[in-house]
Formats: sequence, C-alpha cells, structure tokens
Amino acid sequence: MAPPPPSTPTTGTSSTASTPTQTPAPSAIPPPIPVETHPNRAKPQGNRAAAPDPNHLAPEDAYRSFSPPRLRPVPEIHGSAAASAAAAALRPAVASLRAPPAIPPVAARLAEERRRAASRRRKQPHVWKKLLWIKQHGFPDNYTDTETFLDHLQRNPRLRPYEFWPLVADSTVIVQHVCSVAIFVCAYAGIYQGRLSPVAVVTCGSIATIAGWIVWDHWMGQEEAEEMAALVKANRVSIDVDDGSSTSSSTSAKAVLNGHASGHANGGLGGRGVGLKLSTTNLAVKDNEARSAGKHGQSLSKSSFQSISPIDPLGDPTLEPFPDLRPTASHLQVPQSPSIIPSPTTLTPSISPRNQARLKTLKSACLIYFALLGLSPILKSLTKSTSSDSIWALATWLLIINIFFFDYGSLYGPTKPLNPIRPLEVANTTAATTATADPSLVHAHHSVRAPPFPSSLSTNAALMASTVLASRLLTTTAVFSLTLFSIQVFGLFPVFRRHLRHRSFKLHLVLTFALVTMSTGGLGLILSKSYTHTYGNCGFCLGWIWHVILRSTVGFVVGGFCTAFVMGGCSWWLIGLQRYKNVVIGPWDPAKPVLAGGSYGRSRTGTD
Amino acid sequence: MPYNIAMVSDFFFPQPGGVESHIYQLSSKLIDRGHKVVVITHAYKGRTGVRYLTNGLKVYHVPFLVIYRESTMPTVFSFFPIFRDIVIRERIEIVHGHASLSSFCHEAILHARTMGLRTVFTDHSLFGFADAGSILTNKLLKFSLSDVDHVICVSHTCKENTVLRASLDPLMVSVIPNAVVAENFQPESYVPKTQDMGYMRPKPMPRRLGPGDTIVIVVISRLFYNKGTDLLIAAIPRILAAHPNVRFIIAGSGPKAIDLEQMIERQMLQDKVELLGPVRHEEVRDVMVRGHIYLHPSLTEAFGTVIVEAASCGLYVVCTRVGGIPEVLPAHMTTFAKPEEDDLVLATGKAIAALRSGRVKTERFHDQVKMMYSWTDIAQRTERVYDGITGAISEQEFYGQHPSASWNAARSRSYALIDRLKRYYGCGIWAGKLFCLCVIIDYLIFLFLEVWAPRASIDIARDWPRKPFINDKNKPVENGMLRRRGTDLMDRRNGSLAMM
Repeated sequence: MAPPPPSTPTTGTSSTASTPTQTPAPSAIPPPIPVETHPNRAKPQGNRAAAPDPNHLAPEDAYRSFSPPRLRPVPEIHGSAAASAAAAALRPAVASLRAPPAIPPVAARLAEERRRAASRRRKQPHVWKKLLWIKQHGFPDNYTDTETFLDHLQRNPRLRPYEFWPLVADSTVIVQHVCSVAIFVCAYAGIYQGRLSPVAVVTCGSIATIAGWIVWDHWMGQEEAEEMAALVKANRVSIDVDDGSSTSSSTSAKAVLNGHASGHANGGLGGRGVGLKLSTTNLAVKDNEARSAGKHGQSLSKSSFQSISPIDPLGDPTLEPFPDLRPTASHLQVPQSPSIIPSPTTLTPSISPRNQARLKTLKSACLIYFALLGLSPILKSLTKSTSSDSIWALATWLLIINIFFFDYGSLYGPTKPLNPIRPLEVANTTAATTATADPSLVHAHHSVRAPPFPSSLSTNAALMASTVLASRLLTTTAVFSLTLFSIQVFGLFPVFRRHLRHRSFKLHLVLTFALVTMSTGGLGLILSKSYTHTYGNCGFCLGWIWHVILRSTVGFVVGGFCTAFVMGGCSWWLIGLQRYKNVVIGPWDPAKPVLAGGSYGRSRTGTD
Repeated sequence: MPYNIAMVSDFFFPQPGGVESHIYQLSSKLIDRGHKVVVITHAYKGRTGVRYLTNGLKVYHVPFLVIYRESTMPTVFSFFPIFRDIVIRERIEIVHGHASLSSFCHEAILHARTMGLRTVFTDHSLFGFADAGSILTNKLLKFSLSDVDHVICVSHTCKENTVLRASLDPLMVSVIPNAVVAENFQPESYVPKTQDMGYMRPKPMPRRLGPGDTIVIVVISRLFYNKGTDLLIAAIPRILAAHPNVRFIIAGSGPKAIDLEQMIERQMLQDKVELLGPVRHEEVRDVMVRGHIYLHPSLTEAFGTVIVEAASCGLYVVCTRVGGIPEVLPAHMTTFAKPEEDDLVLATGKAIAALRSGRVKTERFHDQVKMMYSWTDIAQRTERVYDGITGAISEQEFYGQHPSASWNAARSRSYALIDRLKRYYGCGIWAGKLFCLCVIIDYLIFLFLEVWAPRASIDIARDWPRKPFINDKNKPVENGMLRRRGTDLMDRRNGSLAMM
C-alpha cells in the first residue's frame, strides 16, 4: 500500500474525513493485485507477491486515505518545497509501476497456472486498453488496470488556501452589516424605552445619509471624468489610426466623436443619477436597482417598489432575449440601458444631465418622505392586535434572515453593469468608442455574478422587521423616524459601504471600526439597566454623561474584544477546516459547456 | 448450471429508455442461454400484475407509490413481504438490480441479502460528488452496495465513479457495456446477410459525397441541459454559416426545446433545421438513416448507447469527450470535441470535410459495430459474473490470484448477520450505525415473515419451458444439438422489441 506521502497535511488527511475509515469488508485489506489476470505486468514480480510493495499503487488507493501517487502529475497544491521534493522522490517509484519492457522469468507458484498464463501470452499478446469496443482478450471484465484506473481523478484542483489576514479583512464586510443591524436594534430599543428621541435618531441618520450622498456624488463625478478622459484618449488614438493624415476627416470625426462622447456622458450621467438616488432617502432606489439590474449586484425588492417610479421595466437589459437584434446603427447608445438614455423631452439644454439627475433624486426623495409621513399613522396601528412577544420573535427572525441572506459577496460595479451582457455585440461593432469600452464590459460581466439568493429577500426581510417593530411604537413621529431610519440603514447604507470598499480599503476599515464602536457602545448603553438618567430628564447632568461614557466604554471594550475574537477565531477555524476539503473531480462530472461568448447561449447558460 | 434470476428496477417497459431496454435485452438473452429470468418493477399506468413478454420473460408489476419520474418512494422495508413472496414463488437465486436512482432495486438488494441470495447491481449512470443530491444518493448507494456481491458498470469511467462513490473493491466491479440490436439499426442500403447468399452477398456500396451534396447532421437527444443543448444551440448557426450544404435534423423534446426554436426563428434557419419533436425508439433508426453525421453534444454520459446506434446506422459520429464516451467507439468512427462551442464547430467541420473527401468508410460501420456490441456477448459476460458470485467458477479465477492468504476470505460475501453488520458498520460514523439498525430490523422482519407466512404455504410458480442451457463452451448441455452463440438467427428472433 502506498505510504502516506510526505506532502502537505491538506492532501494527507483530507480524505479521511469523507471516505470511510474502513471499507465495509474486513478491515485490513491488502491491495488487490490482479496477478493472474495481468500477464504482462504484475505476474513477473515475484517479490511483490510476498508483500505488497508500499511504493506501488493499488486500485484500493482510490478510496483509501492517501492521495495516490499518479503517473501523470496530479495538479495538487503542494504548499511547501518539501512536498515537491517528496513528490520528485516519489517519481521513480511511480515509474516502476509501468509495464516492464519484457517479461522477466516467472517465479514458479503453481505449475498449472503458469502454463495457462504462458499459453495466454502466446495466444494473445494484447495489452489491456481502457476501451469498450475491443474484446479484451485474456482480461476478465472485473480486471482493474493499475495504470489507468482513476488516472483522471483530480483532488482539490482549484483549492486556494486561505491566508489569515486577507480572510480577516474580508470578514469585515460581514462585521459591518451585523454592526449596522445592531445599531438599528439599539436605536429601536432606545426609542421604545423612551431613552432616545426618535427625531434625534432620524436626524443623525439623515445627516449621515446626505453626507454619504455628497461623497458618492463626488466619486461619481471623478469616475465619470476618468472615463471620459479614457474615452477621449482612446478615440483620438483610434481615429489617428483610422484616418491617417487626413486632417479634414479627422476633425469631422472628432466632431462626431464629441457628439458621441457627450451622448455617452449623458447616458453615464443618467446612470449616475440612478446611483445618486440610491444615496438619498428615497424608495425609488429599488426601482433604479431593478432597472440597472446587476448594477450593484443587488436588486432591492424590485417588485415591491416598482410602482413608485414611472420608469418602465422594459428597460431592463437583461430581459432582452436576443441582445444583438437591436439595430447596430445606434450602437453607441446600445451599451446603456435604454431607459437611461436621456430623452429629448426631459433633456433641456439649460440643466446639465448631472443636475437633472440630482433633481430627479430630490424629487423621489421628497416623494418617499411624504409617502412615509402619510403612511406612519397606519403603520402605527398595524399590529395592535398582535402581542408584543410575537413581534419580537418575528422581528428577530426577520433580522436573522436579513443577516444570513445579505449579499456580502457581490462586487462593486456601478458603471460597468450598464451593459453586462453584451460583450459580443460590442465586439462586433467596429466603432472605436465602443471598442474601447469593450474590455471593461467583458471584465464587468465576469466579475458580477448572480448571488445565490436574491438580496431582495434580505432587504425585504429587514424592511418588514422595521415595519413590525415600528408598529409597536406609540407616536406617529417615532414610527416615521424608525421607518425612515431603517430605509437608510438597510436600503442605502449597504450601497454606500460597497462603494466605499471599492474606493478605499483604508476608509473601509475606518468605517468598520466606527461601526463596531457605535454598535458595541450602543449595545452597552441599551443593555444597562439604569433608567435613572434618560435623556434630558436631568438636563444633561454630569451623572448622565458619566453613565453614557462608562456604559458605552464597557460595551465597546467587551464587544470589541468579542468581535475581534470572533473574526480571528472564525478565520482560524475556516483555515483549519481547509484540511478536510476533499473535492474529487473526474471525467464523470458533467462538463461545463464553454460558449464562445455567443449571443445565444451566454444569457442562459446559467438558467438551468 | 442455469440460474433463476430476478431483475429488479423501477424502470421497465412500458416506459421507454436505455435502462429499460437494457434489462429487456439482457433478460431475453439470458433466457436464450437457458436461464430463467423474471423482472420485478413497479406498476405502471395500465400495467399491473404479472405479464409475460416475448421469450417467456415474466414481469411482475408490483403496486407501489411512485414519487418522482417513475422512481418509487424509498421506504426501506415495505417492499419486503411481496418481494419475499415473489422470490420464493419463482425460486430466485440471484437478484440483479439496475439503476442507482431506483429505490426498488436498492431495497431488493438489501432484502435479498437478508434472505440469503446472491445480488448483483448494474450502474447505468454517473454522479458527481459535489452537490447535495449527489451526496445523498451516494450515501444511499453505499448503503445498498456495502453488501452486494458484485457490481456491473457500463463503462470504465462509470466503474471508477461507482468505486469511488460506494467505496468498493475495484475487483468486485465488472465493466460490461451496453449493446445495440444491430438488426434494428441498419443503414438504408444495407443488404442483410442471409443464409442463402452467404459470402456471395454484394459488398455495401460506398456513398461518395460530392462537394455540392447536402450533408445531413442528425441530433437525437432529450433537450436537457446535461445533454448539451446549449452547445448545440450555439453551434448550429455557426456550422450552418460555415457550411452551406448542411442540414440539421433534430429529434427529441425537453425544456430546452423552446430555446432551440427561438434560435431557429431568430436566425431564420427553418429551411435548414428540421425539428421532429419526440420520436419513439423504434423510429430512431428511420431518422438516423436520413443523415450522414450524428452530433452528440452531451455534457455527461455513462455509456452513450445512442452513438453506437448511430454508428450502426452508418453515421459518422461527432461527440464531446465526456464521461464514458471516449471508450465506446473506435477513432475512425468518431470525431471528438471538447465540450466547448468553438471546438464543437471545429470538430463538425472536420467531420464534414472527412465525409466529403471520402476518407470515412461509413458503409462498413454497421458490420463493425455488429462485431463490437451484441447482447449475446453481454449476456455471456453477465453469466460469468453470476458464475463468479455463486461459486461456479473458483474465486481465484474470478477475482484473480491474490498474494496474501488473508485476502481470500474477503471476497465471497457470507450471509452471516454479524459479517453483514461489520460491512455496514464501516459506512460512516453515524451512517454505519443507522445502516446496521436498518439491517437488523430487516432481519427481524424476515424472521417474522418466516413465521407469519411460512415458505411451505407459498406456491411455486410453474416455469416457462426452458431453453437448453448453453455453458461457456457453447455446447448445449441437455440435447446434443450444437448451437453457436451470436448467430444471426438468434439475434433476429429476439432482437426486435415485439412487445412494444
């Protein structure tokens, strides 16, 4: 039997977890060496018959606990230099498995058998082949060829060992979300216990949101400028190439180009406007998300809010079954979602598209604001007939659903997914402008993958939780404030977080730290039993301030340690669990069809 | 010695399919060799009770709850009483289960071992190891195969897969492929060899294709994702664009049919692609002989009987190199492609060029395939498996020579409950104990049934008149008439599915 190869512990112990510790047959099974059935190879080695050579491969190794040494190099991850050295040392041993060039003299065991084997050898000098259509003369049907059996087996072919710090850094995304949920819960508890003014909460939230929006707007402007610059540069280059020295045509081309560029910018700005709306406090965010599906990899409850926005859902590019049916004459606008293309009626020359988008954002923000204001009295008495316990249980479950089904993985892609599905078409068009946009589009398509669960489930769960929680509150103001706050926290804040992570990892860490601080401090405050100093009752006396500082500090210290411990511990745990990873792939797995970026298959390869 | 064999599977006629016809053909040929075969399956709509098929094949349609795609409800024990009755009535010695998705077959193997019968399992499909469904199926397979006497797989890839899935000893797994009834898949201009003409029959005329002649590409498959319909949909317009004198005939139905139709309408290929919809198995040949190339873009396939059928009809085969497909046909009959759109288009182009240049002698395919695959041969090889597990041929001969003495005891599987429990116990930390519990309960049920419905009270069914038993030397044992196996006479008599 094969010795435990001195490779990494990953390969060494990986299979013990998933394969049985012993076979159903009696425990110590020597390897089945088909001597009699194998006239060419196994028989001659008389010494092998006595004791199975530990260096040799037995078919049993297929399911035994070791990674079998293979004739073909199995693409395994050998983590260390020692492992590769060991593999190199193993190679001659493996090579000795191969068929001997000639048949050495046979050590006699049974005379009758030898005679039979000899006659077989005379009659059929065949070797066994892994084929079904030939008659395998001399080999029984249950013959197991040591060389070819399981030679296409691959173990952990795409294993990427985790490293500790990147893993911790990645876990900040989860920590951020859990912390924002905790902040929301703290805010609710504060309002419910009367320790926190709802107006204060929503004011703080709104200020933060508007600040976030301004930052967002700034980023958008920057990105747009960069894009424009790249576009113009690329155009210039391509036009130079195309037109050579003909200045007149190049100027005209430039004029055209400018038109195109502005058109593109308009489209882009329209897209940005979509983004802008996200960061302001309006519910149209959902619809925008739906419109530019895949824009944030997150379609926030598109159905529930579809009716608010007047934009027709047909603009969704992913709904288009055959993208390249579009007339290619309008290829410049094709990459953008049709609904984003500024229509001549709304595009007044006086207002720049950027400001127009801002205006739109403002409009929908107001719409949401007043709708919510009007709905608050209804929400207040929504669950009057339900007991509070049910509400707490329901809200807890909904928030848990929110945390578990939140779309942590989806990457940021605000500009590219304007057209995530049309790389072929872009490639088809020979226009320089779109050709330059091509790589980024293709890249965007590959980077944006569909999340396994629709994140609308997560967002809807959170909004429902906030609705049922808000219905426990006593005043209309509190209900309004909490609902608005929940929209900010669950609807808009994740978008901002995602962009922030994309923009700057340092700021992302700072935000994580701030969120941890706020949530743990808030939890410390909420969990303290002291009701003596609610806000304002003693007029911000020293005792109150001391209480707040003490409690939040205690909460921060305890919570911060817990968070760090959990982050580090879970990362270690996950790294430790990697040892048990045992992915077995082979020719029996269904192949993944590779479509050549085709227009037909691309959009529906994943549909089944 | 002739055996009494029970084939158990959820899948049998009247439902069409590969497993079904495999069971039928194998049973039919085993009967020809002098064995007695009964088939036990669940009741289909309009088929209940006992039926006799051609050749005296007795089919028990047991009423059972069907849950999903003709698979029965996996109740571990409820099949036992009626199964025991059938086994005793028919004096069954070997229980042969088919298809890993059939819970009937797994139950039968468990009960048969409890009753002290030899069991064989034939695996027809490939499973991965990644998704949850596969993990569950693999665990159940491990349960039922822990105690099986022998396993038959239809291809070497399938064998590797099954060995891994059920942690089997590779020597306990035989590879016996499917076969085709070559007489049902003859090329259009084929002149069958008759007794009278003998070697005088005319040689098949080669079909030369000029550069302007139309080449018809046939695709017959269920239009599912795992049959590679996406590849097909992507490749068809490119193939048609590159080769003007090419037509497609696509038969089959499935969820991807709508995509295919959309593609055809979008590309306006109605005059070049003909969609036939679902065709019955006996019409497959008539569709195939209309074409020159058979395109098989499947993504996973344990054996791929259809490509053998296509080659038998004299079609050049273009197929993806997945699963067991590379083992099935020789290189001069096939062009392999990677499961990628570009490569499939390329391979089809190569195949078209090869046909046009006349390098491929498709007119000879039928005779070659007939030599490669025949059910008579399959039945003979299966019989050897039966011989091996019943001890008719020695263990050494069946499993090969073993170097160490302690090894020999492990092969033949004793019926002692404690040995069986040992085998089940090794299936996993929790699963092993659960399996042991199931086996013990099964044994208790067996004891109860022995008391409640004693063997003496069960009637023995009269056998259909047996054919003379043919042993391995191809000589009849009982009467002196010498019969060669694999003659055309036998094939023609039993080859067609007369009962359908």
